[in-house]
Amino acid sequence: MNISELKELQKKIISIDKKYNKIALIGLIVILIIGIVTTILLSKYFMVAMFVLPSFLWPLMIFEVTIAIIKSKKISEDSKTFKKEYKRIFILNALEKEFTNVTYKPEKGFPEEFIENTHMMTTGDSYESNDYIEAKYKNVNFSQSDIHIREKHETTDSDGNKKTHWVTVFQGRWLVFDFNKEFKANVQVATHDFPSAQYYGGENFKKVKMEESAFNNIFSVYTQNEHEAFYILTPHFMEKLKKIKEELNISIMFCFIDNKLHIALNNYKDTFEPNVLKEINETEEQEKPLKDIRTITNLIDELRLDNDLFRKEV
Amino acid sequence: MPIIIIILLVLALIFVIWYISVSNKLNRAVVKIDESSSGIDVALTKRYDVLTKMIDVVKGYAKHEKETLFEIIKLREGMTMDEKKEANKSMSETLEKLNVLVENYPELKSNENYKTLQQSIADVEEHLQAARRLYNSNVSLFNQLLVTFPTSAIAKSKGMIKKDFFEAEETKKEDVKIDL
Repeated sequence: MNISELKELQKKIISIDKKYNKIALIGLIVILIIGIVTTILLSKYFMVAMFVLPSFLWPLMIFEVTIAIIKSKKISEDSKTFKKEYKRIFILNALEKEFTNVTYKPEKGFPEEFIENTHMMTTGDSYESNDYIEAKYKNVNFSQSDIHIREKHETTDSDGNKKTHWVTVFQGRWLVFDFNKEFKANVQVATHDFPSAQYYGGENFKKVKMEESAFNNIFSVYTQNEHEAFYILTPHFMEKLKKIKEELNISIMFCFIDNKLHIALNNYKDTFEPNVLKEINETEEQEKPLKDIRTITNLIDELRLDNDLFRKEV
Repeated sequence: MPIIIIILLVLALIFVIWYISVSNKLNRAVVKIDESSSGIDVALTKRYDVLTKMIDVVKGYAKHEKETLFEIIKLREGMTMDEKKEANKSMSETLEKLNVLVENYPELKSNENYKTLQQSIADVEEHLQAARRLYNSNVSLFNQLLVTFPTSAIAKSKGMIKKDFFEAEETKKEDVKIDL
């Protein structure tokens, strides 16, 4: 599919959406008019008239919900195709311009076990992941996925009725980079406002206070070995982490696991998702993914992950 | 039993529990300092090993320089903190001499083995800095306990005194920078 075909597909989706929105609006007006007219006609019988208008609310609600379901069914397949093709055309292109060895799988993500095995974060009761990217920038291999983790919460009201609601624990990007230092124990550095669902890899992890109080005021550090925490978190590197936190202004977790750096950005966003109903503007669409792509390049540049000064051992 | 005696016994018990807990806290701080001090030993030994390997490589290129480089490095087990500082200083001086020497031997600069050793020394120095910072952080916490009343009183009764920091050399206060 090329851009003009994509635009055609979007026009089709928008026209279906408009058509059903019109039907919903006409239905709303007709049902309300019938309700009001009936109320007026029955106004002599005050007690009956009082209940006429409210009795029209149920059919109105059923009608609106039915229309919404039909609309979503009609456009769901086309929306899926649109998103898939949009990502192939705009996102993949933008990724290939910036990185080498690009693999982009919009519908795939990190498997749940992958996050579980980091022992840095719970995967909750519902786990979703998409937009898997694997690529290389300045000779640094990285991968990333969007992740949405939710927990099921049940509450019981005074009548003993149970209500279930879902609470988002983490929604954002999980990035994994090759790290330029070899370390023997894992380290977790998380901002104090990072969701409390992490569990620090079990009992072997203990809290470490770094020597800089400004850093300790923003981050909590947990590690299996204090020396490794001080080895990874040099004063210069701590400055960089503070700068990243300040620039992104979201809750972040940095995990150093098996010579890899995992970064969890809890931005409550589904990155790279297009708005199906907003008409495509080619120039704008080419610009849009750049901001999210620059987050990756900025992290590599800022943390100087391409510096392989410490990689070799004798 | 008169109530006053019971109160005194309870107060004495509270005091004993408090004394034991503070005493344990101080002992734990000392253990942590000892542990981190051994981290410095490990890092110094690693630095010494890599430096020795570097000197071995240099031998082939600058035979007349080797004795001067060797005689200043002294490392042995059970050194005091001052001796460790001195050994570290000697190693830094040796490394500086080596770097100056390498400038005169372009073929040595391009020697693959020497390049790898340079990368390795950078990593070893990072480990040394980490060990130093961890040690100093533990010493700082311990010294704070020693000047805070009433912990200071218990520390005094146990004959504990302030520990010395493992100071960074001026050139090492910044992150390691080695031009390759």
